[in-house]
Order: sequence, then structure tokens, then C-alpha cells
Amino acid sequence: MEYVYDGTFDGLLCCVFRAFERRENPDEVHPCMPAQLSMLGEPVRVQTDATRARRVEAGIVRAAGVQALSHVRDAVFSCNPHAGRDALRYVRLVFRYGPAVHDLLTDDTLLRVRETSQRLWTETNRLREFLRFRELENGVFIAEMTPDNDVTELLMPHFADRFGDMPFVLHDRGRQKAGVWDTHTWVLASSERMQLPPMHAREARYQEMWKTFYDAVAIRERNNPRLRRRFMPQKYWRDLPEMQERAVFR
Amino acid sequence: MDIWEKLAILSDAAKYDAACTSSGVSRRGAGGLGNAVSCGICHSFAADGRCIALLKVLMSNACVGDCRYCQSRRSADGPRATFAPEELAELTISFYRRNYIEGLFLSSAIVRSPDYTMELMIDALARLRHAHGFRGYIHAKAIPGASPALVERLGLLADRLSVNIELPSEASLRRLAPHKTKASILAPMAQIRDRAVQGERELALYRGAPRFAPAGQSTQMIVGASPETDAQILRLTQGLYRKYRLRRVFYSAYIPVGDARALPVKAPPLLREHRLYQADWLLRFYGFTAEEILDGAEPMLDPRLDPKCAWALRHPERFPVDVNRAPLEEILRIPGVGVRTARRIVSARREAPLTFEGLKKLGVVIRRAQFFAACAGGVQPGLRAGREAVCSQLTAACRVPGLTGGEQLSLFDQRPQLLLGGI
Repeated sequence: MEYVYDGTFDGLLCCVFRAFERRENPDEVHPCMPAQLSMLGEPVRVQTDATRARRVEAGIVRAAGVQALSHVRDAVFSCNPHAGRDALRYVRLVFRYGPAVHDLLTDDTLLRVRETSQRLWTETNRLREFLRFRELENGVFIAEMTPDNDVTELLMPHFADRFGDMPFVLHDRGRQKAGVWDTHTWVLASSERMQLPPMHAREARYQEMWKTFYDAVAIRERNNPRLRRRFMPQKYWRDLPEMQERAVFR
Repeated sequence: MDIWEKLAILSDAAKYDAACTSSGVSRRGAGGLGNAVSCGICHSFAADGRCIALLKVLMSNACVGDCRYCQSRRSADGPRATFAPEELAELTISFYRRNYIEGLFLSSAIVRSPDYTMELMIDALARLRHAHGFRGYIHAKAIPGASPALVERLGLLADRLSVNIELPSEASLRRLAPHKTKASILAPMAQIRDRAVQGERELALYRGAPRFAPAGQSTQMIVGASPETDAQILRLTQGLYRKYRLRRVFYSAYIPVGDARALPVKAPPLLREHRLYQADWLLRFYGFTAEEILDGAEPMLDPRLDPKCAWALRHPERFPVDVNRAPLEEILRIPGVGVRTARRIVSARREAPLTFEGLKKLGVVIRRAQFFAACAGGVQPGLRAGREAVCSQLTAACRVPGLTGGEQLSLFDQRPQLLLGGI
């Protein structure tokens, strides 16, 4: 049996509710209808209900604290196709062991849940580092990315706090999803029909100055491209000005 | 001169400063520009694999000093530049808004006098903090010889201050940095320490007390330009951590950019620098003392083995450590077990006794730990190796990842002949 929920945290919590209520043990829990159905037949659509979600939420926190809840929440943003199923199994452990669940460090379900969380937050932190903003003609800044996990929502609080006075858009190309900060609140929106004004006249100059700095701080005698690749994986390079060609003008 | 050109000159001149961390202070954004994250954020990695967190520049490279290891020394050729305070502040803001950097690292050559230099730096930082309302990270160098009143003002603007100790002994300082003395370096260090203690006391009294260098102070020394041994360097480091409450000591493998006649021209001692950093971590996080890492017999760290493995091999009487019973401090001493893993071991063993299989899941590097740890089922089966065999297996397991080029591993490393007293 498989579950499908609406991709929200509340939706996932309602899957937990149903699994406990009906004593079901779904083989997969999908955040949206899978393109290809498995041999197990049509998945069950689980209705999202905020009251039920709050009950489950309170139960998890009571049993094992907010850390347990955040492991469950991470499954919603993860690109791991089994994240939902693992989260459900993890909640079983939470209710069985209580706070001691955090000590089950050699349990395979917990290891998988922890790895899912770790991958998600590693990518989030990498993007805190490697996201690059460009200034548009109208004074708005835009940063584009192609992350594996759905990290826009996780990145917005950090950048909204950091750039309090600077309107910006965070664009996930793959998911066509945008986080928008207008200096007061941030919202998530679809970017399907987003149209960008041209770049600000001074943008190219700052990018070139950044490249100049980047080249100058490297110590030639210590050149070590392998070390650089380990810390700064190549998949991020396409959005890093310093990893693009240098303009000849100056 | 155009700011672009200045940036090229003054970042090139700043690149030998090792420190580029943005850690140690947490500050919310407050609706304006900038915040600080206590774990620090690196924004890029240069071609040498070093992290770039801060816009690392000199205020000026027009130095009156003539330190022989330094490329900004008066007698060196090359273009000279000085930032105008406002142009540096604007550049920092523009880079920060693009998420290129976490903030500014501002150092300087000595222009005219230490006091004049510090006033220029303070001007730039004050514009950044006040006119631009910048709440990001600032690391500033205190210039040795500047007046205490200026160090005070600098510390109220910056998150971290540092004074470079430059060379590990006074004799080497005298020889290579004739304008600097042990006293002129240690005086601001002590001032920063005492002021930070005072600041903490004030903060306990009232919340709005101005914060003086909340991310503490650090220092750096050049390794390989002078004849001090690793043992001397580590004892000095330990003294700095204990007496001056430093957050970090950085080591920088000497690269011959200075006056080549005064200094040996060799490939930078990168492996030595790497081993020193490993030993530094043992001092700060693993409860080791400098005297334990290198006891009197050996003046240099073993290039073939990391210092923790080397210590463990010298102390067979302390092993194997039973991971199911030993206290955290002893588990931290097992090679192949890091700080996080050690905590996980202590946590996981509450639920069930640990096996080698379990240790692997917790993140223990079994290749190294197997010789030193005992589990529920005793020691790893088939491991009754003598010291030599263990040593050669560990050597293979301790190969330095990512470290290519630089000096070759040499078992017959030439030792410096002179032993000079540390600072």
C-alpha cells in the first residue's frame, strides 16, 4: 500500500495519523502523485487536516522533543524518494522509545532519517555559501539555483534576515519556484511566468571585480584544485561568477 | 588610481594572512543590512583550496617597515596603493549584497605610523558600521605599536581582532622583522584580552553594554622561515591559548616572497603546516597538552602519522580503550574518533552495547581505531600486531587527503640546527 499527501508538513503528519489510526504500514509515502504507479495499485490519497496534524505534532514533541519533529519535517523537503516512508517508520520508533530514540544511533531507520536530514541541510548550507545575487535594473536582486532538495523555504529566513533592506528573489529553476522578499515579508510563488528586467548597469563591473579579488587571493605555490572541488562541488559552479571566464575589458 | 586596480593590489598583498574565518559571533539582522552566524560561512574556495569568507584586503601596502619575509616591505618593488575609507566601505557593501562575502577582513601595512594607519582603518570601519548600518562580520588587525585608545576604538567596531605574532621566537623576530618586538606584539594582545573580560562583566550588568570584539582574538605565525621546532611552536601556541585567551592560532607555511637572500628558498612546508593544525585541534578540542603531543625526545611532529596516532603508538599502556565503559575524555584519545563521534558513542552505548559494526555506523574510522578500541566482543579479531606493523598500516591510513604538490614526504627531514627560546 502507498500513501500520497499534498506535499505539506501537515499533510505528512496526517499520513502518520492515518497509519496509526488504521494500523497500516505503507510501503511508500509520496509528496505528490507518482508518475508511474507501482504494482501495488492506486495509492491512497491522504486528506490534510490541520487539527489532526496538530495532534500528531504535539504527540511527537511530547514523546521526544522538537528534534524528533524536525526530522519528520525534513522529509517534506527532501529529494529522497523514500523520505516519507522512513519518516513514518521513525515516528513509530519515537512513540516506542520516547527520548531514548535519539540514542538509537545504530538503528537503520534512524540512520536513514538522519542521513536524509543531513543531506538536506548540507545542501541548504552549501547554498547559503554559494548562492550569488545579481542586481537588476529596478534595484531588486535575484539569485538562481538548481538544488536537488526543495530548499527555497529553508533558505528564505536566513537571507531575509541578512538582507533586511534589500528586496530579492530566490529562484529554484528546476521546481519553477520563487521565494520573494519585499523587505517586510517573504512569500513563495510559482516562477512559471516570471519575467526579469535587465541587469543593472553596474552589475557586470562588480562581477569582474569579484573575479579579480578571487584570483588575487589564491596563493599560486599552494595550488590545489582537488581540495577546491571537494569544498566547492562542481555542480554549483554554473552560478558562481568567479568560476566563469574573465572578461577582457577593464 | 581606479578602485579596481587598488583591489587587485591590496588583495594580492593580503593573501598571506591565513585567517579567513567568520565565526564566533551571532547577530540578528534587525531589518537593516547584514547578520552574523556563529558557525561562520565560507562563500567560495580559491584555486589553492583555501576558503574565502571575507573580503580580505589591506588598507594600504605602502609600508614604512622592512620585514624580510613580507612582500609589502619598504625595500620591495611593486605597485603601492591605499584605499580611501569610503571606497572600501562601498566595495564591501556591494560584495556583501551579492552574497560573495560574509564581511570584511581589514589589515594594513604601516603607513606613516601605526597610529595613522589605525585611524585610517577605524575611519573605514566606522563608515561601514554607522553610515551604511552594516551588521555583518568584521575582522580587523590591530597594528603593533598603535596607541591603546585606538585599539579600543577598533575593538568596538570589529567582531574579531588579531595581532600577528609573525614568528615563533623573539630572536627570529629580531632577525627578520626589525620593526617589531615581542613587547609591541604582546601589549595589544593583553589589552584586547583584558578589555574583553571587562566587556563581559559590563554585559552582565546591563544588556546594552557596547560589545568589544565579541568574536575574540586570533593570531598567526609563519612556519618554516625560522628554525623553531614544532615542540617550541606548540608550547607557544598552548601559552597563547591559556594566557591570552585566543580563539585561534593560525599557521602559515612560509612562501618565499620576501627577501630571498635572508631566507631559505624551498617549497612551502605544507605538510608541516597540516600536522601543526592537527596538533592545534588536539590542544583545543581533545584535551591534549603540548607536552603530551611532543614529549622531550622528539622535537618535530612525525610527517608520516597524524599527531594523535603518533601519541597513541607511544602509549600502548593506555590502550585498548573500552568504548562501552570508558569516559568521554578517554574515548577522545582513540585515533579515528572525532569529537562528534565520541559524543555519539557515549549516547549510543546507553541503548545497547557497541560492536565494531556499530562503531562504523557512528562514523568511526575503523582503519585507525581498530588498533586502539575494544568493543563488546573484545578487540578486533586477528589484531595482535607489533608496533612496527601497526605503524606502517597507520601510515597508509593517515595519508593526507587533498594535499598534493608542495614538499615531498621525507623521512630524513633536515632539522634546524639552532634551538631558540620561544616567546
